[in-house]
Amino acid sequence: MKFLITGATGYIGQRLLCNALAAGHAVVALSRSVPRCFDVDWLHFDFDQDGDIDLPPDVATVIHLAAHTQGGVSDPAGEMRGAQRVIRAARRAGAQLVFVSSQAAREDAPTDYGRTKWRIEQEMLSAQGVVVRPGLVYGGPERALFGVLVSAVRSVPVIPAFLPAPRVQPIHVDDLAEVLLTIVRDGISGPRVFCVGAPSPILFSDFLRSVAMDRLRVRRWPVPIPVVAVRMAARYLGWELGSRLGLVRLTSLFDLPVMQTQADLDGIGVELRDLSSGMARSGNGARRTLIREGVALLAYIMRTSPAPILVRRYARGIEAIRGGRPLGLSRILLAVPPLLALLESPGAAAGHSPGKAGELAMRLHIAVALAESSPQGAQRFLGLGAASGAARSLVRLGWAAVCEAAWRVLHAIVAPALRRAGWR
Amino acid sequence: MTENSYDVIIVGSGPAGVSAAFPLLDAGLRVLLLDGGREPRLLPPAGPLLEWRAGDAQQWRTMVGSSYYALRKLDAVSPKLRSPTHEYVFVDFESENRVRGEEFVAVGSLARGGLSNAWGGGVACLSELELARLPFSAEEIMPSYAAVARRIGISGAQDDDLSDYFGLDAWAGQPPAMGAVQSRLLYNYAARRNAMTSAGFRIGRSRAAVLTARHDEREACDSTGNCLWGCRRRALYSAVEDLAVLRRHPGFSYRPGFVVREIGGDHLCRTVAGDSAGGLFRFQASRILLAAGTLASTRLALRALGGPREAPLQSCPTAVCVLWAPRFLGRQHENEFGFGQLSFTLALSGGTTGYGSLFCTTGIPVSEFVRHVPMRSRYGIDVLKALLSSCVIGNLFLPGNFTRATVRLDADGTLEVRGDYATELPALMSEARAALRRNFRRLGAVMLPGSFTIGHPGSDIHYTGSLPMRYAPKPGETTPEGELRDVEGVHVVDGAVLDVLTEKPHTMTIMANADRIARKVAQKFRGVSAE
Repeated sequence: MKFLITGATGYIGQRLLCNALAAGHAVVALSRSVPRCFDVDWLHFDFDQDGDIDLPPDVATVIHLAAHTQGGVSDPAGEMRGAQRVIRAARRAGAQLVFVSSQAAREDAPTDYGRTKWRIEQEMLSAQGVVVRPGLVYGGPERALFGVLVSAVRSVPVIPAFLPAPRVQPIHVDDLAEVLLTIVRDGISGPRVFCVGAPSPILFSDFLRSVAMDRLRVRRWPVPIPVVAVRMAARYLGWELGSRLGLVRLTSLFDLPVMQTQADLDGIGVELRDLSSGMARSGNGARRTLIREGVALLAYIMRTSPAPILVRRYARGIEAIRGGRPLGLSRILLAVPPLLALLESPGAAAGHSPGKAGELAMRLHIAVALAESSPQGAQRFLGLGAASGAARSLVRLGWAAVCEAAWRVLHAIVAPALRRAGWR
Repeated sequence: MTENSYDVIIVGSGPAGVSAAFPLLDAGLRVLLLDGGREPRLLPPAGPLLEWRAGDAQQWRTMVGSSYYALRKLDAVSPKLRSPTHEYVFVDFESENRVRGEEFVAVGSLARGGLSNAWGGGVACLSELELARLPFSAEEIMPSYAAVARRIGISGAQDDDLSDYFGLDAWAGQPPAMGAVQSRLLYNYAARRNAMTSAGFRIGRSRAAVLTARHDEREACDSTGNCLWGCRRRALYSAVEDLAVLRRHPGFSYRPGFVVREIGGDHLCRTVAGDSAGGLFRFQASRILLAAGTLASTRLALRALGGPREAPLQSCPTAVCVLWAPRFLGRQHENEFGFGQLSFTLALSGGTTGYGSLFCTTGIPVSEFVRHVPMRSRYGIDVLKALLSSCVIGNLFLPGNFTRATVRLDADGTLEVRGDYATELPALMSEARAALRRNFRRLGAVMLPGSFTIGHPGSDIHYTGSLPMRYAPKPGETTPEGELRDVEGVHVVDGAVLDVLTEKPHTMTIMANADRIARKVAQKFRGVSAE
């Protein structure tokens, strides 16, 4: 089954094209220039042209990604006309329509950008199209808004902590591509709107911090900046310069409606990678996250920092036998491993309990087995070379019992929060 | 006769297969032995356990495995089945031999030497009373017990309360050195002996197929404590040792890497067909001896009988527990023999006897315990670090008739094994737990609360009795010579023909019976040539 992508050379378009070809789809690319991505049928498409687009007869789906930008300046009217041409062409060919819109799309959006997206959405929906509203798209090549943000963090020694703090719902560009490919593959028809992005919004400044830490591996301190100042700057600089500097897109982030994405993601059946994994240059920072996870779990078990080789064995092991997805431990847990005692529930037998608690039990068992099988572990587990004796052992037993009891009490106190976070 | 023709073909090189080969070769017969041929790819550790644990940076390759074998096999029934050094013993058995366990642990081997490569080495003879339930006289099998015991090398002879129970001290060497905790238990037992024996509890040294004196190329046990992963000194018996001897015999041919698919032919000439690296092969012989292990042999036999069929299966219910000797709290771990040092018998209601052995904890990974301690792993490890050196592990076996299992040959040729414990088992296990707790407390050891764990059905891997020997066999049964009724010339010589599965270690009896049947088969050949 063939499908057609408009804007195939854009940030999302290029990744979608590559992933679609890799998945064995037949794709026609519609763009101004020839896509750089291997062997693909190409049709010329330009917003500034008029007249009908002739689709190849066997195109079953049209994914509309193209946005009219010229030198960074958007042109709402041109974009609208282009979208209408695509809709007409798809209708004539009897093809399913999928439109990639924006979280900012609203009838009363404060920016032209958001209002244009909303108007196109309406046309798409009335043509039985599917609308996908992604949150903040990130990862992969440094292009589009993501590219602006990365280069900003790279060149400025601080990261702005906007006040009031805006929240974003990031989605990795490859996860978005997977969403789109799933919609095509399953033949989901409209009119329907899918909201996709991290189910719980995160602070925009945390997003930027992840750009610094996980992508660029630099340290950046947050500096508070009132949103009002950015708005005023955008107004003062005017539409054109503001667009070019990315201020227009930036201001569109400031009053994003929160999207309920979990149900839509579940419905499509796509699970988003976590931010720190996606932010890595490879698009899969899972290994680095696993390394951090391994350090925490091994330190929790061994009561000392684990040898690097053990941590690598842990990460490789999780990749080899647990699918390689990080547990998603919070920064606090990664920094203070003894706190893992709050999450561990001894009732969850390794490999036999469902959910995050069961997976944690399994990974702790893996960490225990790997930790033990090392000279460092022989000391920790067998007490080799250490002083022993009945009195010392009694104290050790008593202390372990006291600690266990204390954590049980704490565990019970925070149980509701753990349940909410899926740890019980 | 063609090149592919022999007097006898033996299928399987485990303890039964090699035991059957010796009498046949001694009678001058031409024997072909076929097996799955899987060989070890990872050697057991060389030095004393605690030394390599303290210093060897690569020990994880042995303990976990560089492809994380031990962690992939978390559901396996015992640490031995998770050992990366034993991966080759169990690998591919179920798929190649088309055996499937349903709620039942179904294990077998395609390895050279079969399951004996992962054997704990427990040995015993059946008593006269027990032998009376089998369709041959005790006099007939005793020479076979003796021959097998001398050949494989056993130890543990001691004038103690289990001497008669094991019944093989005449052929056994000294027991291996005993660790401090178990020595103390035995010492305390001696002081309370009368009270304890009258309460139905007896303790003695374990009898095992481990050398305590040099035996040809094999060295004696030096308590390096690596038993769980295998013995570099070859002190622990494996059928591979006998296979090496057999291969020096001129009448012996060996074809490894051959998985038998089918038994064919007629009573004049039998054939086996199967896969080898080079494709499909067929061999002929006057007689076929099936020694592929109870499950695989049963499948081949049921297929030879034609059509879907059911058969019963026995297997010993098992349990384990942790016994703590407080007097040794804070003791340093020491290298000790890793398998049973002491064994015990326990009289239970209804005339049932329970049997078990005690194991040193040093040679078992602590991670095996951590996941069963009802504490957070960080503190569970603290507890085990303080406690394990003063603990021993006890296991318990009950007679096979307390498992109700069946094997069934499906229409597609798969052998399905299913079964459960008998309804009276939970009560019997509770009784055994209470009796063990009581008796070991008297000896100065506390059963750790919650540590008594009953194994899954089949986890003992003592499968027997699917093709029982009878004086007058019915269809699906075998003659006293193990010959399958209605399939003349095909004998079953492994556990499948034994329908007496006591709580005792049964491997010696399988081997002795294979030896006994092979002597009978050799006689038949002599009879033919005399005519």
